[in-house]
Amino acid sequence: MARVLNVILTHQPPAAVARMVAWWSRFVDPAQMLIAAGGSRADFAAIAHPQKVFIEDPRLHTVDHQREFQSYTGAFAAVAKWLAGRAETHVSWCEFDHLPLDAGFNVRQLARLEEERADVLGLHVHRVDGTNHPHYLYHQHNPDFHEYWARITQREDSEVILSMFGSGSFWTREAFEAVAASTEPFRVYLEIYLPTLAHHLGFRVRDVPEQNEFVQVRPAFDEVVDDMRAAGAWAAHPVKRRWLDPGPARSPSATNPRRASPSRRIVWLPAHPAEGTLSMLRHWRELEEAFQAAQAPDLEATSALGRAPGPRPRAHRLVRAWHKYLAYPRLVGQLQGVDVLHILDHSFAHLLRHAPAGARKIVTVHDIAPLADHTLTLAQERRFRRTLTWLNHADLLLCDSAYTAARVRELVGAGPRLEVLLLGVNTHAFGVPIPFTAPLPLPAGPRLLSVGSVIPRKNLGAFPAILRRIVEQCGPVSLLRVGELLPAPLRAEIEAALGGGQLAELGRVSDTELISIYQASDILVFPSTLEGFGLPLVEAMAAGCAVVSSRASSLPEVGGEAALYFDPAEPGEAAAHVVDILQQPPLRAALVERGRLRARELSWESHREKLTAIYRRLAGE
Amino acid sequence: MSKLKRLFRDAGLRVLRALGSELVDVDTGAPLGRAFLFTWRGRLLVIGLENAVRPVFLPQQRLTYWKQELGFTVHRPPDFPPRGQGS
Repeated sequence: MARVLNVILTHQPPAAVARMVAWWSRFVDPAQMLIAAGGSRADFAAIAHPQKVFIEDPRLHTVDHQREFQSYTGAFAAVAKWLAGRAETHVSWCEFDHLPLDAGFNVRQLARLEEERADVLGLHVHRVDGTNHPHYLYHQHNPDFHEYWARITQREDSEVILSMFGSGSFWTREAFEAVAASTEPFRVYLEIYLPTLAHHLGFRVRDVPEQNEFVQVRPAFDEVVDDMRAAGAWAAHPVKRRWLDPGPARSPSATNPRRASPSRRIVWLPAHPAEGTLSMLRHWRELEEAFQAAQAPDLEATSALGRAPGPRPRAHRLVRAWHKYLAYPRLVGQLQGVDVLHILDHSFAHLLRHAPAGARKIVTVHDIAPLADHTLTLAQERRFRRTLTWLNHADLLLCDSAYTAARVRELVGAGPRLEVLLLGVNTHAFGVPIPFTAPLPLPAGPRLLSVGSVIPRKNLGAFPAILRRIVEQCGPVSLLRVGELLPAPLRAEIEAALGGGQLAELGRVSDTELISIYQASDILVFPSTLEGFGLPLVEAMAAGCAVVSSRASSLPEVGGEAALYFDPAEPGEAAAHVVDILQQPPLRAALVERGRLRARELSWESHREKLTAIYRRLAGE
Repeated sequence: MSKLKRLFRDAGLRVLRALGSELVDVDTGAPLGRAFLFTWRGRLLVIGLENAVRPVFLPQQRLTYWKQELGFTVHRPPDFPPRGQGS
């Protein structure tokens, strides 16, 4: 015989829950009701209803549910655990603002499920793959999204993506438990995740179209409730503030569930994507992935700009100025309930001015090289210095290297606290072999690699002299060049040093292409005179490419024992190291091995662990 | 979202929908809602559409190389059988 468990998900205070239970009791046997409470533990303890379960999942507590990928995974798992050993055959899942209107609420859902031979009934169930549905498009940006469904599906067509409202749904116990037992592979919004997962696990998900019209915002619930009943409504949604007592006895969790949550809220402020800074976008994405892979239960880290987008070109300067100085500060000014605000790029330190009250403030300083290499115009330098004055308002400055920390200390004086946190490298992505598909014919001979922009401090002018010496001693070698295109005179000099066809300029490439290029190269030659960190060094090491680097600024600190160093003013020394590596395979093998070890020390996992400790320490102060 | 921002956005959408055109399902002729369509940097921007639609290039009765038409349709309501009964 069918037995339905009515799960009501709420974060409201005990008094509101009592009023809600009283309403539900008019239509459903209280013994069939389970309160799934996601508010504070104190509120949970005070709920009088005997059947209750506490939901401890930071991903339940979202403000912008869609952009923050609100999830019911933790709630489903807790209810499934509670169900173990009990006789219920079906689960009716309702949010606190989804109200039954009919005494036959469960009977009608059961009958409909039977009639449809379905496993799940939902509201506004649609197939959304290939459409303009915003939730679908927001997930489509993640390459793992379709790959995941293809991997787990028990259907012939893995492309199918379903969407349904999260407010109310009805499940067979088998379908509910199967979905509850699945691990969410990455962040997926619940309205996509629940129906799509059920579908791909082989369950039949059906819409109840005639009930959809009762799931919409209406001005006055009490005035239209009889009309809705007469029109055949089983339930209505949303009726958000119905249970709240407007008097002063309201618990703080009623108005701000996030504050009742036991977790600390960390908000990242990355460089705006309109800036088109690939390294900053990658930093943001790697942080996001590292925290997604192992989210600490007491910390909830999200970006104020949503998910990290893919690489994009630098926008027009007016567009950049609009975002940087108007739209972004305004967005930051609207943030509330933030425990730690972390600016991921010091160029956006001016956002500290708009930081919410009470939030602890961290700024990551990657480098202040533009002040040292005099590449800025006077106006640009003035703007940059003005931005950097905001560093004094931070509670903590995180520097990418001890070298950068020393330069920053000179700039800001004894003011803010300063710590060194080396950046990371995605050892997994760089370690998995990727076939190299060059847009140009690959030159013959040993391949040297140069990565980065062409600004003067990158010291690319040293290449012709270095390459001439290498060719003299080792014969033909080739140079793969990634990044901004070389100026024509320098290009001509390098081609003259290498010989015809031995220079391959690949321009700006995707992340995947970059990894394959590192893997296809023998030696990264990095003659830079000034770096805040030196990401290409660790990327090359992670990809198994030997490194010959300048010993200037932070580079020896980053490369450690895994690279050979030279004076950037001495091309002969650089050439000698390259020749040694090319002529001594054991030396190259040793450098590659040491490089892999060094890259592992600088993984994003280790970066995340250190950053998590910093967040906890700062939030607890 | 602030009330003022919502007000401006709703007013803007109302104007754009009025300026835009009614979209119809190229398979069934059913209305799909109004939207303002325009191209920007090689992309087609769809403003103000409230339904989930799929773009499709329309079949040609007469071969033309200089013009193709893009229409819209929707998925049929999901009606997949349960596991073990085909998919």
